[in-house]
Amino acid sequence: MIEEAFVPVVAVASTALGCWIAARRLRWPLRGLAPAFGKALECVGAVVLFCILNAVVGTAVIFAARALSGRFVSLHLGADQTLLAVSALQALVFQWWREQSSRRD
Amino acid sequence: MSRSSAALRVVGGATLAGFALCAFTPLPNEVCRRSVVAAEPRPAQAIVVLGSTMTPDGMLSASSLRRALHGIELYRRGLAPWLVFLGPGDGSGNSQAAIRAELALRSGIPPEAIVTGDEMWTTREEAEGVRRLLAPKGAREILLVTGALHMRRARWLFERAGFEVIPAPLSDASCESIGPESRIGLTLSLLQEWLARAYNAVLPGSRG
Repeated sequence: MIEEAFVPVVAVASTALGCWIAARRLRWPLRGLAPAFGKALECVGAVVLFCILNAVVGTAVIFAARALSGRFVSLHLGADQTLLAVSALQALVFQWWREQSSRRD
Repeated sequence: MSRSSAALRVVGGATLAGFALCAFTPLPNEVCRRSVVAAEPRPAQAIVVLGSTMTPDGMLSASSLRRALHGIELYRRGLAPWLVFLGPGDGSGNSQAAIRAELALRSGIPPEAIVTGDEMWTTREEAEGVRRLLAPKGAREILLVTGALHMRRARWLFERAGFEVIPAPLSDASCESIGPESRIGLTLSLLQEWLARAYNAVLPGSRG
């Protein structure tokens, strides 16, 4: 079924194309691929941590808003998917900061 | 590699593996099928239609409208003498309960059969509120109308409020989602529902 295969096919094809351009045209060494994948995993891990942190802070803000305003504020606000993009941005900055700090040490 | 880097890689790897499982396998579909409660409509003392959401311009959302129409259909089948519409207002004077009641009246439901409650914001409050609304009528056996994924938690809360619940869910759970995007959406809905159940179980006295 095209619906099931579409995304994996596109991902595999574009990854293969990217690898070909990097290895053949730009002459990047293939041995750098595994460490790059490791760094990507670190970034994903950092995004998850910031997602959790944003969820905890968001819940605290909602409870505070309820207490201060006396009106109902839904916990569903914390499910806003914009927070995922914000978490990704926070994680990227955090990772770069961590990278810079470790180079200085 | 530092310990923090290794820990982040483990979290990242587990997340990617979970993402792949949820997006590219039927795992969420199977979990959804096991999570939903089957409809078993039979005669009861009241039909209770839980609230949903309104659009910013003060109209019923699609899910709110579908729940209302499902309740009206159950009433027309003669399954209960009372039809209870819930749903809070949007701050501009409109409330889901009132709009749904108006819809029911225009559909030919007699006004004396309609009960509304619009000061309830959570499923827990709805369970307590319906108990107060139906106590004078002596109705304890109810047909509960809500979304299929929401039904398990709603049934639990209404049973805790003293009702005998007959599930009459909408078939809106999309357990048959096809394609990565809709399966990820289904996974998020399942996660949200599990978190809400955990919240209700851990903080029994709070507003969910």
